[in-house]
Amino acid sequence: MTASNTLPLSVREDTFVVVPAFNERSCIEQVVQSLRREYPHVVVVDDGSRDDTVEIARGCATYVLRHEINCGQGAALQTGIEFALSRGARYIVTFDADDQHRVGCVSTLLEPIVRGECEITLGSRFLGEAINLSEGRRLMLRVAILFTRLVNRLQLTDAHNGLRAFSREAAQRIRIRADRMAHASEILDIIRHSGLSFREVPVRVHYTPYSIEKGQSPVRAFRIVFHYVIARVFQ
Amino acid sequence: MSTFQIILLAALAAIFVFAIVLNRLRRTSFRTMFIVTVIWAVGSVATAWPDLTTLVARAVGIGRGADLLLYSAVVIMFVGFFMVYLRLVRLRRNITTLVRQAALHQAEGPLDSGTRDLKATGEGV
Repeated sequence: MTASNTLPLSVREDTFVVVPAFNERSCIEQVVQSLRREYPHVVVVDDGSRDDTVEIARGCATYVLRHEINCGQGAALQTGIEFALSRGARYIVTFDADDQHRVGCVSTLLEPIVRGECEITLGSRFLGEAINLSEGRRLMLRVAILFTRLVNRLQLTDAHNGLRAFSREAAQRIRIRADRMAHASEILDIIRHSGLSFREVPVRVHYTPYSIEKGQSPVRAFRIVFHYVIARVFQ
Repeated sequence: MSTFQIILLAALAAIFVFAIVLNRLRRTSFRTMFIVTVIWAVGSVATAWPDLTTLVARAVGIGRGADLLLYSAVVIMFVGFFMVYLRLVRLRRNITTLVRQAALHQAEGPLDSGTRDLKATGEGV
């Protein structure tokens, strides 16, 4: 695994991988261990899980932060990013805890930033590969992408993908206010308004029955839109 | 004047006295007191002379005074709910800030030496 990683160790030592986790006891260990084989700094932000996610994370992650009450994924990401910055991270990657992302994609995300070609990279499963993606979910994502193009005015090929990478300078500009899932659109707003250069890179997203169950349903998608509007209008 | 009107006026008067007492004790803002006074005055007038509401209703194209009251009550309640919702959003944000501060304060790690695994296997560089 490690041998296939093209990034020099010095870059990997400057990289903090932030994994927000909420009730992920069945996957978290495997996800964190596979990350740690290549990246020394893996930060798990336990978002008030009711199961023993935090105990499992303590056994495998480099750093464990715990929200005493559940604040939502957006809040957990912001906490992880602030922590990584405080520990001197030069590169910050966000990675989902439900085992749908592949560790190999992290270097793909980092490479353009390391080369100084852009400040932010966003994973795109439609440039890359989406395994076991159902037709219903594909349709839902199409609507989300359309929403992104209309509202965020960014021409992207994917929306609400949890795989992203930021340079330190870019991460310092990120202030996620939407606690729950609307943070994905909010990050795009920040990108657009700050003028930070970004690029989409192909990634592989592997849907498992578990990640599908933990993912978003169409009904909840409407709630995300509502929360996004509230966060945007009432700052 | 019907019994219902008398009871309602008495209740309104009691609430107004209560509001004045509260104002004296806790020094609520002038704005709050002003709003309470206006609502109280309108309510009292509408109770004492219900026909007046019909006049106002006709003026804005609604048949009966009672309907006007119902419609405005619905609108006022929606605005009220929304204001409460916004207050909840702000409250959530404040809670998140507190939870985040606590989490950053009590952060655990490094839980074992960060780069040992990589260096031990001689990979990378």
